[in-house]
Amino acid sequence: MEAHGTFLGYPRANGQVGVRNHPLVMATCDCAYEEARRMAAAIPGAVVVGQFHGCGADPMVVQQMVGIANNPNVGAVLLVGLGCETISVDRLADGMDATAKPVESLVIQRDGGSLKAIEAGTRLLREMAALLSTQQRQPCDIARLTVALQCGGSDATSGIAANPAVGVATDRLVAAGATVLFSETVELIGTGRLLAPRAVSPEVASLIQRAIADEVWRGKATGISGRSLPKGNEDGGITTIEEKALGNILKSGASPIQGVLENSRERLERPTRPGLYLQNGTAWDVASITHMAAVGAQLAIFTTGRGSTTGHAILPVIKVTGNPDTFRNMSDNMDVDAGRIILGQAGITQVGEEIVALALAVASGAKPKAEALGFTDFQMFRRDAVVENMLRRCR
Amino acid sequence: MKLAIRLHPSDSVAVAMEAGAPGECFSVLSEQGAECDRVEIASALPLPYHKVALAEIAAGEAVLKYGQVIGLASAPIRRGEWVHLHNLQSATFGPRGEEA
Repeated sequence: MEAHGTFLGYPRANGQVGVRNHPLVMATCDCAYEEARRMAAAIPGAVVVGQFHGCGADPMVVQQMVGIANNPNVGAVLLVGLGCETISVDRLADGMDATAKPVESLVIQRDGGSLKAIEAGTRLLREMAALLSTQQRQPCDIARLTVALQCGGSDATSGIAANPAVGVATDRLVAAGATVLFSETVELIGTGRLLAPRAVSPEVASLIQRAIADEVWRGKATGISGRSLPKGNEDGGITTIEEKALGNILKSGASPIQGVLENSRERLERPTRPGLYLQNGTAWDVASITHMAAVGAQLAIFTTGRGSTTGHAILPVIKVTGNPDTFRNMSDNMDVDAGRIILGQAGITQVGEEIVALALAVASGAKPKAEALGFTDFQMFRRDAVVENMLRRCR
Repeated sequence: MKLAIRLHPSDSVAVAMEAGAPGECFSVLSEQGAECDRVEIASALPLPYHKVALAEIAAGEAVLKYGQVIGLASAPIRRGEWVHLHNLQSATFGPRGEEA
Protein backbone atom coordinates (compact mmCIF):
# COMPACT_ATOMS: atom_id res chain seq x y z
CA MET A 1 0.00 0.00 0.00
CA GLU A 2 1.27 3.39 -0.95
CA ALA A 3 0.40 6.36 1.21
CA HIS A 4 -1.72 8.55 -1.01
CA GLY A 5 -4.10 11.44 -1.04
CA THR A 6 -3.94 14.75 0.62
CA PHE A 7 -3.73 16.50 3.94
CA LEU A 8 -5.24 19.79 5.06
CA GLY A 9 -2.53 22.41 5.33
CA TYR A 10 -1.89 26.13 5.14
CA PRO A 11 -0.48 27.01 1.71
CA ARG A 12 2.05 29.86 1.83
CA ALA A 13 2.57 32.45 -0.89
CA ASN A 14 6.00 30.95 -1.71
CA GLY A 15 4.61 27.46 -2.40
CA GLN A 16 5.41 25.93 0.98
CA VAL A 17 2.65 24.40 3.09
CA GLY A 18 2.32 24.69 6.86
CA VAL A 19 0.71 21.98 8.98
CA ARG A 20 0.44 24.50 11.82
CA ASN A 21 -0.06 28.25 11.79
CA HIS A 22 1.94 29.56 14.72
CA PRO A 23 2.62 33.19 15.47
CA LEU A 24 6.29 32.92 16.50
CA VAL A 25 8.20 35.21 18.82
CA MET A 26 11.92 34.77 18.22
CA ALA A 27 14.44 36.23 20.65
CA THR A 28 17.57 36.79 18.60
CA CYS A 29 19.81 36.63 21.68
CA ASP A 30 19.60 35.40 25.27
CA CYS A 31 19.21 38.95 26.62
CA ALA A 32 15.90 39.47 24.80
CA TYR A 33 14.36 36.17 25.83
CA GLU A 34 12.50 37.27 28.97
CA GLU A 35 10.64 40.00 27.08
CA ALA A 36 9.92 37.64 24.18
CA ARG A 37 8.60 35.01 26.60
CA ARG A 38 6.20 37.48 28.20
CA MET A 39 4.85 38.65 24.83
CA ALA A 40 4.09 35.06 23.82
CA ALA A 41 2.56 34.25 27.21
CA ALA A 42 -0.01 37.01 26.72
CA ILE A 43 -1.38 35.65 23.42
CA PRO A 44 -2.79 32.09 23.35
CA GLY A 45 -1.29 30.03 20.54
CA ALA A 46 1.86 32.13 20.24
CA VAL A 47 5.12 30.25 20.66
CA VAL A 48 8.48 31.63 21.71
CA VAL A 49 11.97 30.43 20.88
CA GLY A 50 15.44 31.57 21.86
CA GLN A 51 18.83 30.15 20.99
CA PHE A 52 20.97 30.40 24.17
CA HIS A 53 24.33 30.49 22.44
CA GLY A 54 24.98 34.12 23.35
CA CYS A 55 24.77 37.20 21.14
CA GLY A 56 27.59 36.61 18.66
CA ALA A 57 26.65 35.59 15.17
CA ASP A 58 27.70 31.93 15.11
CA PRO A 59 26.95 30.95 11.50
CA MET A 60 25.15 27.74 12.48
CA VAL A 61 22.90 29.63 14.88
CA VAL A 62 22.08 32.32 12.29
CA GLN A 63 21.32 29.75 9.57
CA GLN A 64 19.04 27.75 11.83
CA MET A 65 17.22 30.78 13.28
CA VAL A 66 16.47 31.98 9.75
CA GLY A 67 15.40 28.47 8.77
CA ILE A 68 13.04 28.20 11.75
CA ALA A 69 11.49 31.60 10.95
CA ASN A 70 11.07 30.46 7.31
CA ASN A 71 9.48 27.13 8.32
CA PRO A 72 5.98 26.95 6.84
CA ASN A 73 4.46 25.98 10.21
CA VAL A 74 5.19 29.56 11.26
CA GLY A 75 2.45 31.89 10.02
CA ALA A 76 3.94 35.15 11.25
CA VAL A 77 7.18 36.17 12.96
CA LEU A 78 7.98 38.74 15.62
CA LEU A 79 11.75 39.18 16.01
CA VAL A 80 12.86 40.58 19.37
CA GLY A 81 16.40 41.86 19.90
CA LEU A 82 18.09 43.75 22.70
CA GLY A 83 20.01 46.12 20.44
CA CYS A 84 23.72 45.57 21.09
CA GLU A 85 23.90 41.98 19.82
CA THR A 86 25.73 40.95 16.65
CA ILE A 87 22.91 38.55 15.75
CA SER A 88 20.49 41.44 15.21
CA VAL A 89 16.84 41.44 14.15
CA ASP A 90 17.89 42.96 10.82
CA ARG A 91 20.42 40.20 10.22
CA LEU A 92 17.75 37.54 10.70
CA ALA A 93 15.10 39.48 8.75
CA ASP A 94 17.50 39.80 5.81
CA GLY A 95 17.66 36.01 5.51
CA MET A 96 13.91 35.52 5.70
CA ASP A 97 11.48 35.08 2.86
CA ALA A 98 9.22 38.07 3.53
CA THR A 99 6.86 37.06 0.72
CA ALA A 100 5.62 34.07 2.70
CA LYS A 101 4.45 35.65 5.96
CA PRO A 102 4.29 38.87 7.99
CA VAL A 103 7.54 39.73 9.79
CA GLU A 104 7.85 42.41 12.49
CA SER A 105 10.79 43.46 14.66
CA LEU A 106 11.30 45.07 18.06
CA VAL A 107 14.56 46.23 19.61
CA ILE A 108 14.35 46.69 23.36
CA GLN A 109 17.08 49.34 23.66
CA ARG A 110 15.60 51.34 20.77
CA ASP A 111 11.96 50.91 21.69
CA GLY A 112 11.96 52.16 25.29
CA GLY A 113 13.03 49.25 27.48
CA SER A 114 11.35 46.08 28.60
CA LEU A 115 7.84 47.20 29.44
CA LYS A 116 7.30 49.32 26.34
CA ALA A 117 8.74 46.56 24.16
CA ILE A 118 6.52 43.96 25.80
CA GLU A 119 3.45 46.15 25.30
CA ALA A 120 4.28 46.86 21.65
CA GLY A 121 5.20 43.24 20.99
CA THR A 122 2.05 41.89 22.61
CA ARG A 123 -0.04 44.20 20.44
CA LEU A 124 1.78 43.11 17.26
CA LEU A 125 1.30 39.51 18.28
CA ARG A 126 -2.44 40.03 18.89
CA GLU A 127 -2.74 41.44 15.38
CA MET A 128 -0.82 38.50 13.94
CA ALA A 129 -2.99 35.99 15.81
CA ALA A 130 -6.13 37.70 14.51
CA LEU A 131 -4.84 37.58 10.93
CA LEU A 132 -3.78 33.93 11.18
CA SER A 133 -7.18 32.97 12.59
CA THR A 134 -8.78 34.00 9.28
CA GLN A 135 -6.63 31.58 7.25
CA GLN A 136 -8.21 28.23 6.34
CA ARG A 137 -6.68 24.81 5.88
CA GLN A 138 -6.88 23.56 2.29
CA PRO A 139 -6.30 20.15 0.69
CA CYS A 140 -2.59 19.80 -0.16
CA ASP A 141 -0.68 17.05 -1.91
CA ILE A 142 1.31 14.69 0.28
CA ALA A 143 4.32 15.70 -1.85
CA ARG A 144 4.32 19.00 0.07
CA LEU A 145 5.13 17.15 3.27
CA THR A 146 8.59 16.88 4.83
CA VAL A 147 8.86 14.53 7.80
CA ALA A 148 11.71 14.49 10.33
CA LEU A 149 12.69 11.16 11.93
CA GLN A 150 14.13 11.13 15.42
CA CYS A 151 14.71 8.74 18.29
CA GLY A 152 15.42 9.31 21.94
CA GLY A 153 15.52 7.24 25.10
CA SER A 154 16.04 4.16 22.96
CA ASP A 155 16.10 0.63 24.29
CA ALA A 156 16.45 -2.74 22.61
CA THR A 157 12.78 -2.70 21.58
CA SER A 158 13.46 0.35 19.38
CA GLY A 159 15.45 -1.72 16.88
CA ILE A 160 12.98 -4.63 16.99
CA ALA A 161 9.64 -2.83 16.78
CA ALA A 162 9.42 0.98 16.73
CA ASN A 163 12.16 1.75 14.21
CA PRO A 164 11.21 -1.02 11.75
CA ALA A 165 7.57 0.18 11.85
CA VAL A 166 8.68 3.76 11.19
CA GLY A 167 10.85 2.38 8.37
CA VAL A 168 7.70 1.03 6.72
CA ALA A 169 6.08 4.46 7.13
CA THR A 170 9.18 6.12 5.62
CA ASP A 171 9.02 3.91 2.54
CA ARG A 172 5.27 4.56 2.11
CA LEU A 173 5.70 8.33 2.45
CA VAL A 174 8.65 8.43 0.06
CA ALA A 175 6.79 6.30 -2.50
CA ALA A 176 3.92 8.82 -2.32
CA GLY A 177 6.27 11.70 -3.11
CA ALA A 178 6.95 13.10 0.34
CA THR A 179 10.36 14.09 1.71
CA VAL A 180 11.76 12.32 4.77
CA LEU A 181 14.85 13.38 6.74
CA PHE A 182 16.89 11.23 9.11
CA SER A 183 19.86 12.50 11.04
CA GLU A 184 21.72 11.62 14.28
CA THR A 185 24.94 10.91 12.37
CA VAL A 186 26.80 9.62 15.44
CA GLU A 187 24.17 6.90 15.60
CA LEU A 188 25.14 5.70 12.13
CA ILE A 189 28.59 4.51 13.24
CA GLY A 190 29.08 0.96 12.00
CA THR A 191 26.29 1.13 9.39
CA GLY A 192 28.08 2.77 6.45
CA ARG A 193 28.26 -0.41 4.43
CA LEU A 194 24.48 -0.82 4.74
CA LEU A 195 23.62 2.82 3.96
CA ALA A 196 26.12 3.60 1.20
CA PRO A 197 24.69 1.07 -1.30
CA ARG A 198 21.30 2.82 -0.92
CA ALA A 199 22.73 6.12 -2.17
CA VAL A 200 21.43 7.35 -5.53
CA SER A 201 24.98 8.00 -6.76
CA PRO A 202 28.60 7.12 -5.91
CA GLU A 203 29.04 10.74 -4.86
CA VAL A 204 26.22 10.50 -2.30
CA ALA A 205 27.60 7.14 -1.11
CA SER A 206 30.97 8.73 -0.39
CA LEU A 207 29.27 11.65 1.40
CA ILE A 208 27.50 9.16 3.69
CA GLN A 209 30.78 7.37 4.46
CA ARG A 210 32.54 10.70 5.01
CA ALA A 211 29.82 11.93 7.40
CA ILE A 212 30.14 8.76 9.49
CA ALA A 213 33.96 8.81 9.41
CA ASP A 214 33.89 12.44 10.59
CA GLU A 215 31.73 11.43 13.58
CA VAL A 216 34.21 8.67 14.47
CA TRP A 217 37.01 11.25 14.23
CA ARG A 218 35.11 13.75 16.42
CA GLY A 219 34.40 11.01 18.94
CA LYS A 220 38.04 10.03 19.21
CA ALA A 221 39.26 13.64 19.24
CA THR A 222 36.90 14.54 22.08
CA GLY A 223 37.63 11.39 24.09
CA ILE A 224 34.42 9.42 23.58
CA SER A 225 34.77 5.98 25.12
CA GLY A 226 33.24 2.63 24.38
CA ARG A 227 30.95 3.36 27.33
CA SER A 228 29.40 6.33 25.58
CA LEU A 229 25.71 5.45 25.62
CA PRO A 230 23.24 7.04 28.01
CA LYS A 231 22.43 4.91 31.05
CA GLY A 232 18.86 4.33 29.82
CA ASN A 233 20.12 2.81 26.57
CA GLU A 234 22.35 0.46 28.56
CA ASP A 235 19.65 -0.47 31.07
CA GLY A 236 17.38 -1.07 28.09
CA GLY A 237 19.72 -3.69 26.67
CA ILE A 238 21.82 -1.71 24.17
CA THR A 239 25.56 -2.24 24.73
CA THR A 240 27.52 -0.56 21.92
CA ILE A 241 27.20 2.39 19.55
CA GLU A 242 27.17 -0.01 16.59
CA GLU A 243 24.24 -1.94 18.11
CA LYS A 244 22.35 1.30 18.70
CA ALA A 245 23.10 2.47 15.16
CA LEU A 246 21.96 -0.77 13.51
CA GLY A 247 18.62 -0.36 15.27
CA ASN A 248 18.45 3.35 14.53
CA ILE A 249 18.86 3.11 10.75
CA LEU A 250 15.80 0.91 10.45
CA LYS A 251 13.78 4.14 10.74
CA SER A 252 15.01 5.08 7.29
CA GLY A 253 13.36 2.02 5.70
CA ALA A 254 14.82 0.73 2.46
CA SER A 255 14.28 3.83 0.28
CA PRO A 256 17.10 5.25 -1.84
CA ILE A 257 19.10 8.01 -0.13
CA GLN A 258 18.93 11.13 -2.30
CA GLY A 259 21.65 13.11 -0.60
CA VAL A 260 23.49 14.17 2.52
CA LEU A 261 22.39 17.61 3.71
CA GLU A 262 25.15 19.54 5.38
CA ASN A 263 24.55 21.55 8.55
CA SER A 264 27.94 23.11 9.15
CA ARG A 265 29.52 26.45 9.83
CA GLU A 266 29.69 26.90 6.04
CA ARG A 267 26.13 26.04 5.02
CA LEU A 268 22.73 24.62 5.89
CA GLU A 269 21.50 22.57 2.95
CA ARG A 270 17.85 21.91 2.07
CA PRO A 271 16.39 18.98 0.13
CA THR A 272 16.29 19.81 -3.57
CA ARG A 273 13.73 17.19 -4.65
CA PRO A 274 11.44 14.75 -2.81
CA GLY A 275 12.74 11.54 -1.24
CA LEU A 276 14.84 10.36 1.69
CA TYR A 277 17.84 12.39 2.90
CA LEU A 278 20.45 12.08 5.61
CA GLN A 279 20.73 15.45 7.31
CA ASN A 280 24.21 15.40 8.79
CA GLY A 281 23.89 16.53 12.38
CA THR A 282 23.47 15.98 16.05
CA ALA A 283 21.80 13.12 17.89
CA TRP A 284 20.69 15.54 20.64
CA ASP A 285 16.94 14.94 20.38
CA VAL A 286 15.26 18.34 20.45
CA ALA A 287 18.12 20.13 18.69
CA SER A 288 18.08 17.46 16.00
CA ILE A 289 14.38 18.12 15.34
CA THR A 290 15.18 21.86 15.27
CA HIS A 291 17.79 21.50 12.54
CA MET A 292 15.46 19.36 10.43
CA ALA A 293 12.72 21.98 10.99
CA ALA A 294 15.22 24.62 9.86
CA VAL A 295 15.29 23.01 6.39
CA GLY A 296 11.54 22.68 6.15
CA ALA A 297 10.33 19.62 8.09
CA GLN A 298 6.73 20.17 9.21
CA LEU A 299 6.28 17.22 11.55
CA ALA A 300 8.41 14.72 13.42
CA ILE A 301 8.04 11.00 14.03
CA PHE A 302 9.95 10.11 17.19
CA THR A 303 10.66 6.60 18.42
CA THR A 304 11.43 5.80 22.02
CA GLY A 305 11.83 2.78 24.25
CA ARG A 306 12.39 4.19 27.71
CA GLY A 307 9.77 6.90 27.17
CA SER A 308 10.80 10.36 25.90
CA THR A 309 8.16 13.02 26.53
CA THR A 310 9.49 15.92 24.45
CA GLY A 311 7.56 17.90 21.88
CA HIS A 312 8.78 20.80 19.75
CA ALA A 313 7.99 24.50 19.56
CA ILE A 314 6.98 24.55 15.90
CA LEU A 315 6.57 20.88 14.88
CA PRO A 316 4.01 18.37 16.09
CA VAL A 317 5.91 15.31 17.37
CA ILE A 318 4.41 11.81 17.09
CA LYS A 319 5.74 9.40 19.72
CA VAL A 320 6.10 5.73 18.75
CA THR A 321 7.26 3.24 21.35
CA GLY A 322 8.26 -0.36 20.74
CA ASN A 323 8.20 -1.12 24.45
CA PRO A 324 4.80 -2.46 25.58
CA ASP A 325 5.55 -1.61 29.22
CA THR A 326 6.34 2.01 28.30
CA PHE A 327 3.14 2.35 26.28
CA ARG A 328 1.08 1.09 29.20
CA ASN A 329 2.97 3.08 31.83
CA MET A 330 3.16 6.36 29.85
CA SER A 331 -0.08 6.36 27.89
CA ASP A 332 -0.37 10.14 28.40
CA ASN A 333 2.78 10.58 26.30
CA MET A 334 2.86 7.77 23.73
CA ASP A 335 0.86 8.00 20.48
CA VAL A 336 1.60 4.67 18.78
CA ASP A 337 1.93 1.29 20.47
CA ALA A 338 4.52 -0.59 18.42
CA GLY A 339 4.98 -2.83 21.47
CA ARG A 340 2.21 -4.95 19.95
CA ILE A 341 4.90 -6.14 17.52
CA ILE A 342 6.96 -7.46 20.45
CA LEU A 343 3.89 -9.17 21.89
CA GLY A 344 2.98 -10.75 18.54
CA GLN A 345 -0.30 -8.78 18.42
CA ALA A 346 0.47 -6.75 15.29
CA GLY A 347 2.83 -6.90 12.34
CA ILE A 348 5.51 -4.36 11.49
CA THR A 349 3.73 -3.41 8.24
CA GLN A 350 0.41 -2.91 10.00
CA VAL A 351 1.91 -0.56 12.60
CA GLY A 352 3.85 1.26 9.86
CA GLU A 353 0.61 1.93 8.00
CA GLU A 354 -1.00 3.19 11.21
CA ILE A 355 1.91 5.62 11.58
CA VAL A 356 1.35 6.94 8.03
CA ALA A 357 -2.37 7.45 8.72
CA LEU A 358 -1.60 9.23 11.99
CA ALA A 359 1.06 11.41 10.31
CA LEU A 360 -1.49 12.59 7.73
CA ALA A 361 -4.08 13.24 10.45
CA VAL A 362 -1.53 15.21 12.45
CA ALA A 363 -0.51 17.12 9.32
CA SER A 364 -4.19 18.05 8.98
CA GLY A 365 -4.39 19.38 12.53
CA ALA A 366 -4.87 16.44 14.91
CA LYS A 367 -2.70 16.98 17.99
CA PRO A 368 -0.32 14.22 19.08
CA LYS A 369 0.10 13.91 22.83
CA ALA A 370 3.19 16.09 23.29
CA GLU A 371 1.40 18.89 21.42
CA ALA A 372 -1.88 18.41 23.30
CA LEU A 373 0.14 18.71 26.51
CA GLY A 374 1.48 22.03 25.24
CA PHE A 375 5.13 20.97 25.15
CA THR A 376 7.18 23.48 23.16
CA ASP A 377 10.72 22.17 23.54
CA PHE A 378 13.34 24.09 21.59
CA GLN A 379 17.11 23.71 21.51
CA MET A 380 19.68 24.54 18.90
CA PHE A 381 22.85 22.65 18.03
CA ARG A 382 26.09 24.19 16.87
CA ARG A 383 29.40 22.55 16.21
CA ASP A 384 32.54 23.40 18.18
CA ALA A 385 34.61 25.63 15.87
CA VAL A 386 37.90 24.35 17.33
CA VAL A 387 37.01 20.70 16.72
CA GLU A 388 35.81 21.49 13.20
CA ASN A 389 39.02 23.36 12.35
CA MET A 390 41.09 20.43 13.64
CA LEU A 391 38.98 17.99 11.65
CA ARG A 392 39.54 19.97 8.46
CA ARG A 393 43.31 19.95 9.01
CA CYS A 394 43.53 16.28 9.96
CA ARG A 395 41.45 14.65 7.27
CA MET B 1 8.19 -20.63 28.42
CA LYS B 2 9.84 -17.23 28.30
CA LEU B 3 10.67 -15.87 24.85
CA ALA B 4 13.74 -14.43 23.14
CA ILE B 5 13.95 -13.05 19.59
CA ARG B 6 16.81 -13.81 17.16
CA LEU B 7 16.75 -11.02 14.59
CA HIS B 8 18.86 -12.70 11.88
CA PRO B 9 19.85 -16.32 11.15
CA SER B 10 23.57 -15.57 11.53
CA ASP B 11 23.21 -13.83 14.91
CA SER B 12 25.22 -15.05 17.90
CA VAL B 13 22.87 -13.33 20.37
CA ALA B 14 19.09 -13.16 20.91
CA VAL B 15 17.05 -10.50 22.73
CA ALA B 16 15.25 -11.90 25.77
CA MET B 17 11.76 -10.50 26.27
CA GLU B 18 12.01 -10.89 30.05
CA ALA B 19 14.62 -11.07 32.78
CA GLY B 20 15.82 -14.59 33.48
CA ALA B 21 17.57 -16.63 36.16
CA PRO B 22 20.31 -19.26 35.65
CA GLY B 23 18.81 -22.59 34.68
CA GLU B 24 15.68 -21.09 33.09
CA CYS B 25 14.98 -22.11 29.52
CA PHE B 26 14.02 -19.52 26.86
CA SER B 27 12.34 -20.36 23.58
CA VAL B 28 14.17 -18.49 20.81
CA LEU B 29 11.96 -17.21 17.99
CA SER B 30 13.26 -16.41 14.52
CA GLU B 31 12.40 -13.12 12.82
CA GLN B 32 9.48 -15.02 11.28
CA GLY B 33 8.17 -15.86 14.76
CA ALA B 34 8.86 -19.62 14.67
CA GLU B 35 10.89 -21.33 17.38
CA CYS B 36 14.41 -21.83 16.06
CA ASP B 37 16.30 -22.68 19.26
CA ARG B 38 15.96 -23.20 23.01
CA VAL B 39 18.62 -21.80 25.29
CA GLU B 40 19.27 -22.39 28.98
CA ILE B 41 20.29 -19.26 30.84
CA ALA B 42 23.86 -19.56 32.14
CA SER B 43 24.15 -16.23 33.95
CA ALA B 44 21.34 -13.99 35.23
CA LEU B 45 19.64 -11.67 32.73
CA PRO B 46 18.82 -8.81 35.12
CA LEU B 47 16.41 -6.85 32.93
CA PRO B 48 14.07 -7.39 29.97
CA TYR B 49 15.30 -6.88 26.39
CA HIS B 50 18.91 -7.79 27.22
CA LYS B 51 20.99 -10.12 25.09
CA VAL B 52 21.65 -13.81 25.65
CA ALA B 53 24.42 -15.64 23.77
CA LEU B 54 23.28 -18.35 21.37
CA ALA B 55 26.84 -19.53 20.63
CA GLU B 56 30.19 -19.98 22.32
CA ILE B 57 32.06 -16.75 21.52
CA ALA B 58 35.82 -16.40 21.98
CA ALA B 59 37.40 -13.23 23.39
CA GLY B 60 38.05 -10.83 20.52
CA GLU B 61 35.49 -12.48 18.28
CA ALA B 62 32.79 -10.38 16.58
CA VAL B 63 29.32 -10.54 18.13
CA LEU B 64 26.48 -10.54 15.59
CA LYS B 65 22.97 -9.05 15.90
CA TYR B 66 20.80 -7.89 12.96
CA GLY B 67 23.24 -10.10 11.00
CA GLN B 68 25.87 -7.40 11.59
CA VAL B 69 28.83 -6.81 13.90
CA ILE B 70 27.67 -4.99 17.05
CA GLY B 71 31.07 -5.22 18.73
CA LEU B 72 33.85 -7.53 19.89
CA ALA B 73 33.74 -9.92 22.83
CA SER B 74 36.01 -8.53 25.57
CA ALA B 75 35.95 -11.89 27.39
CA PRO B 76 35.01 -15.47 26.45
CA ILE B 77 31.19 -15.80 26.33
CA ARG B 78 29.41 -19.10 26.94
CA ARG B 79 26.15 -20.02 25.26
CA GLY B 80 23.30 -18.91 27.53
CA GLU B 81 25.33 -16.12 29.11
CA TRP B 82 24.14 -12.52 29.49
CA VAL B 83 25.94 -10.35 26.90
CA HIS B 84 26.43 -6.73 27.91
CA LEU B 85 29.04 -4.20 29.03
CA HIS B 86 31.11 -6.76 30.97
CA ASN B 87 31.87 -8.93 27.93
CA LEU B 88 31.11 -6.87 24.80
CA GLN B 89 32.68 -3.65 23.59
CA SER B 90 32.41 -1.36 20.59
CA ALA B 91 34.56 -2.32 17.61
CA THR B 92 34.97 1.40 16.83
CA PHE B 93 35.75 2.83 20.25
CA GLY B 94 37.74 0.91 22.84
CA PRO B 95 36.86 1.07 26.55
CA ARG B 96 39.00 4.15 27.16
CA GLY B 97 38.70 5.85 23.81
CA GLU B 98 41.52 4.08 22.00
CA GLU B 99 40.78 2.09 18.89
CA ALA B 100 39.65 -1.42 19.67
